[in-house]
Amino acid sequence: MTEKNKILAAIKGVPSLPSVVIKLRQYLNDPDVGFEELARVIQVDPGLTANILQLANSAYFGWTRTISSVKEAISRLGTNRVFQMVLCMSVAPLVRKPVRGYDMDAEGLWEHSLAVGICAEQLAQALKLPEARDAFTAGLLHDMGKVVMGTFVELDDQPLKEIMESDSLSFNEAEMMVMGVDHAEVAGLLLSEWNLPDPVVEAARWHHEPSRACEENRVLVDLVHIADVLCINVGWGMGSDGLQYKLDEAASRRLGVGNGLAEDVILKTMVGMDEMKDLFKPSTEGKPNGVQHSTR
Amino acid sequence: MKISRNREDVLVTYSLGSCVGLTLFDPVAGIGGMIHCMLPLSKIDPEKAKIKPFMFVDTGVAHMLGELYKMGAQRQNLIAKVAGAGSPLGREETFRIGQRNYTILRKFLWKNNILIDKEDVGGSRARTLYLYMADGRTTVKSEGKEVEL
Repeated sequence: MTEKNKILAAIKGVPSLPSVVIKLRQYLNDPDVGFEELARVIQVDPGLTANILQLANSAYFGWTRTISSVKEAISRLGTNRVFQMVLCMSVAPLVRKPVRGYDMDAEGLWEHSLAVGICAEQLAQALKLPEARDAFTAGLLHDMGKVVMGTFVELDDQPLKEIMESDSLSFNEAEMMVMGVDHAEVAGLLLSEWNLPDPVVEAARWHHEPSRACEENRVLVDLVHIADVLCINVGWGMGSDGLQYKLDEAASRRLGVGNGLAEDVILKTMVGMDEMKDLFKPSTEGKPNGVQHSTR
Repeated sequence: MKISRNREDVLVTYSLGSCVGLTLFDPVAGIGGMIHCMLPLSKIDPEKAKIKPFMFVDTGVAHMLGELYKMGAQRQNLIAKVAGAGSPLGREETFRIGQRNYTILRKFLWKNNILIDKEDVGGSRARTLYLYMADGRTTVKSEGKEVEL
């Protein structure tokens, strides 16, 4: 089997997204659905219910009264926040492990995915775009292709590294050259397999080449592209691919994002990251041991 | 930000992209410090800068110098080394975060009469910066290779 076929076959082996995520997303878009019905969808899953309650009662939010129902949790945290948490909890088991082919430790891809989700949403809100609704989902899932290539396939990254050193290719161009497929295409196929809506699938598929996305989904694709570039820049979850990506300047022009807004959004993302990371308490494994102090 | 006077310590910061990492070491007092700043200027959110001054170059480096002097380091002995301030591939003109981080850092140090001794900045490599307190050796690890600055 060729490397490409091996990767494409591996997509089928990735567990599907829990149906509660798909159902919640549909419900969120329906103005007739109330807290009661949303709560019922979550309560079907006892593990999820326990987690949502634990998060809603987390010291982070500073409420003194303990709540014991999902409905109360939704009214305390807001529907959008609850959906984001359910989504995070659903993909975390897949994303929070070392991604071998990309030299990422257990928290690397998780940190990057969270950062791009938050950053895309912040960017959309700052620009007052209706796409803000799907921005977190699209950002969180944009690199799922790396999960397939780095953990489901025993990817040999040596040829990739050699090509990147000798040519000034971006990482996804090198992937395409060596394997005939890049992590963005794989992500698009996986998310489509997961029955996610077209704009979210397209955002993952074209997150390195936004100008190739179809017109009607372009805004969400541009948002995820810019958010990804900014988060790579800052170093949130960096692997062997480093900063080896290109910014599509047409995307920043289309959205009207300059350096000032970018710095502002990075700062807001940082605040959001502190909050989310606190809630999901990342483990500290994976960093080198010894008498070392990290300054971050 | 970390400050140390323990010879057994190794200060380290990971994943420097467009962020800048600065090490300051006083070989006479045996005191050193390291900082990792994400953004150049605190004026975009002065409130945040009060809680997390080290995120920004201007407030971060000011705090760092204050701490070093408090512990007994002397300005004229400080050896400054800088790493990071990278940018993605290609003609990067839209976002100049790395470049701005470096420019502001250089200016701030210059105003404080500190010149950068060695640096490894720019380009598209992710970097990890180390400061060995035993002898002040500063290294940058990138793409699997550790090189002394």
